[in-house]
Amino acid sequence: MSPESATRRFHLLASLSGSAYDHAKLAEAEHLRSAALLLAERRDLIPDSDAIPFLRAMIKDARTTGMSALAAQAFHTLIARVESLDEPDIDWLAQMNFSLAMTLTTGGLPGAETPMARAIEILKAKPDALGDDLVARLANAYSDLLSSEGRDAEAEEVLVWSLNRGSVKSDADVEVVPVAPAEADVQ
Amino acid sequence: MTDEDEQTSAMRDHAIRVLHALSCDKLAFGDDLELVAAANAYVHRRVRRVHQSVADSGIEVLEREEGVCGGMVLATRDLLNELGLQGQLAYALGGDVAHSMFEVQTESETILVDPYHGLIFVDHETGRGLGLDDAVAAASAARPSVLFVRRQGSEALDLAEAYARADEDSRVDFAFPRNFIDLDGYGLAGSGFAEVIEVHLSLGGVLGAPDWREPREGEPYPYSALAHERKADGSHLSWAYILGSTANGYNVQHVYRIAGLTPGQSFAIRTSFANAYGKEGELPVVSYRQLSGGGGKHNAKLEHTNRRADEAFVPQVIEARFVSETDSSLIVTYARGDFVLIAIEAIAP
Repeated sequence: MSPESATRRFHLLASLSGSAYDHAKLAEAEHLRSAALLLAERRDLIPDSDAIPFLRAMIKDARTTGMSALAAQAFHTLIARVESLDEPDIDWLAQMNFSLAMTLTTGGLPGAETPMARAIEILKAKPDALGDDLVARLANAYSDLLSSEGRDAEAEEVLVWSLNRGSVKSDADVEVVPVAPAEADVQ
Repeated sequence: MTDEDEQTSAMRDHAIRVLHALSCDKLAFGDDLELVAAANAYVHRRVRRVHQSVADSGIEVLEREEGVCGGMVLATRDLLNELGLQGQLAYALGGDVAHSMFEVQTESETILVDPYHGLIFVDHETGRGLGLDDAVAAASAARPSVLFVRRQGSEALDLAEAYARADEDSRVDFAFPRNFIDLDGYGLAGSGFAEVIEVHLSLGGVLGAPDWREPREGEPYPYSALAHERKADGSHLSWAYILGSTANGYNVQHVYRIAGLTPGQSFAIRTSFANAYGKEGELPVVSYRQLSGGGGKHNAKLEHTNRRADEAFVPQVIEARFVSETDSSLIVTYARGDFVLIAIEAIAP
């Protein structure tokens, strides 16, 4: 596949959104947007300047329409892209990992541990990468996940880290946050 | 939204329908052969064949859902361009009527497609596409190299669903490799090579309809009669109505062989033109040169054709006069511009 062909194909597919199709055709559009998502994983063919805005829009669409798995796949692709930028936005990476973890958790999907751990890893290096309320939610969710797997010592360690950081455990429901803050635009 | 915007948007919708045919993985990771096949099948299954149908653009063919090979090839070209693939119009003359196809150039292979007949040319051993030259060679070697699209339905299908190695539908209008055997010529648009159409005439002979002035039964267009002329062996003459560098990128020249002459006799080639367009602002020019039977030469400048719809049809007529030193003469044309002829005659002035 030539880059020209791939790029043209990507733009055609990426141009589709739920609003571009009526409800009956949404499923068909979703098939094509899934293909665009796969194409967006092809860093050799689709440049960041095309892929990143598409992935952000797709995550928003997918979460709005309750398609957690699709949103999670787009998150994974987007995070991989941003991680490999020359100067990645650390705050944004922390937030994306947090949001991915919450998307997986609320969607009942596996794999939340990795982004949770990554977000905490970033926070340990850059404590202000997330606001206190988000850090608290992250710590609670991660602690709950570890406890559910019988890893109580690790769960306790996360909570201690969180408390030492000054955050307070909350019983509030975990909610997802926007994909990225408006000021955290890497383009 | 302008007409151009609407056409672009409409072609984009057709391209998306083609993409529907492919699975996500094939769309993102598959090779371009899948995409080419889906586009070819889409055009073949969507467009009804309507004899003497004409269209100015590929989108017109797709929207009206009717056409012949030339229009279906324009539709395929524009559809593939929309999908990021480029190629050239391809043609085959002789054996049957003049036939238009499309040769796609992907990153790794060349693939000839024939949307009119619903074919793509693929080497069954390697699974790779074949270009025009390869397809012609395969036909001569009687090596199977064609995938036939199944006709049922109208939606685009992927390669595995759409194509068969044999003509399972028992179609009788096309039997590979007939179209590639006994060829008078074949080639690609924009190649730079000229296709020479050999026209045999006797003194007093008339090809086409020099008296055509308005549509009539079986001759809706000025060139209809000339386009359907046949040679002595019954095969189609093909492209005697086209001359010069066409809008599609073909380069067509004519050779007129005049028989039945008397040494020392004067004669003329009378050619009647429906359309003549110069290139880059120049007047269209046709040069007639007598290569055997004498050494005459005749250059003729034509006017640009720009007839309004409410004007009566009046062809431009050129009489190129020669003297034959033998009982036959060979006249070669060199044309600069894009011409459509309605008739070719050999006359005694």
